[in-house]
Amino acid sequence: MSVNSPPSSSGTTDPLTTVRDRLKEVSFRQLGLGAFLVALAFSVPFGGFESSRAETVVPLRVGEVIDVHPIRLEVVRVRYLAPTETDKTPKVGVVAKVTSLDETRSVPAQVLKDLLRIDGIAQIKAPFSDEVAKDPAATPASSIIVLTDEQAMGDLPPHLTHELGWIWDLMPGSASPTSLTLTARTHTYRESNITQDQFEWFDTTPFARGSFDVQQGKPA
Amino acid sequence: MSRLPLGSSRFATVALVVAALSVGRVVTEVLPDGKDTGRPFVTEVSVGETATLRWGTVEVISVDGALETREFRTALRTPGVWIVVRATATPLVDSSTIATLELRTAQGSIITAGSRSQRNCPSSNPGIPVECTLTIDVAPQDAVGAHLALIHNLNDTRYDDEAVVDLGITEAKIAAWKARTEPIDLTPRTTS
Repeated sequence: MSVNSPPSSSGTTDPLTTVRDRLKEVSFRQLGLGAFLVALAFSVPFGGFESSRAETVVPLRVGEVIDVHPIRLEVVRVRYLAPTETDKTPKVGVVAKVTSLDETRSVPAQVLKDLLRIDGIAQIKAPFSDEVAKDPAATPASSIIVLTDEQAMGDLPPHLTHELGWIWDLMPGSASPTSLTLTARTHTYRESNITQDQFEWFDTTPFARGSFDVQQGKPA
Repeated sequence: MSRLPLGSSRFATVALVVAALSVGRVVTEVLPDGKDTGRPFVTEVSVGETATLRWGTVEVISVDGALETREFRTALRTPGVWIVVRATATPLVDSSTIATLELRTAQGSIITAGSRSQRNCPSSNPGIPVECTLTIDVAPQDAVGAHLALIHNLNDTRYDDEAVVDLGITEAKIAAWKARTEPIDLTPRTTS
């Protein structure tokens, strides 16, 4: 028992008083170290304290090849596609060459969908809706097509380079934008959780960003 | 009731904690990890051989390839090669079929069949064989020596059995497929 802790009326020491007295004897540094060790011990089953990635965004430019894991990306052009008689929906398309950096497995189509986002255009249409997207920077392309056959892209196999078009639908009557901001987002390959042995590409993070002029393309 | 002295009690507590941690460590080291426990049961066959699986039998009838496939008016081109596999699937107990394809290359990589690939393999009733057309595009160097896994579960290769078929693809076959000028027609044949 500490000499500073007065006995209670019943003659026994109050546990809270004991703890308080003990803490008085511990320096602030020791207290911080102890808290850190306890937190570290509790975090061990979940992977411990991993170093977090600094969120630095590098420039993204037309014609420059950049590795945005798991994709090697080269933005070719950005185009506005005017509405036609049969398709009243104006569109913006980003054309880019992609090659998988993962030689061990195909990159799922969903990763390609999460790869690019555009911003700086107010009239992007929300997915599966006729409304304007509330958060354009978070809105995925409505489709990704392979330019050689204009059909939808699927998983990207290793060792193949495809020229793809990410197409965003705009609200009817939208004017052609003159420029937009394009963000390429990286992924991390990791286990989905601690109970399942399922590895996937997760943790979509902005990696490269640039401003692009929008060319006037042929009608959509 | 006699009680242990305070020192002995603390020692016993520490010993119990250390023993529990040691047992936990041994258990985690001795037990197989997730990859081992979830590995599929593989039945390896070649083209023309029947693989008998838990849910049914499958047999690859033919393997072909080209730079382009066509179904009705839709053409699909690849910078690699399309591998086109014709197979039969016959369920044993329940209505079922092949739900997932994986091409496993000689180098050990796994090519999954995404939305551009075709898995025209309808479910059929037990004992009724159904003909399947399966396509997957791949870099030419990855096609040589590749095996095709035919899997019953959708997008999950764990725990169940699977047929892994040696497609018998050689460099000579790849050269012939690349030289082909006409697309492979995948349009379903009608009986009329």
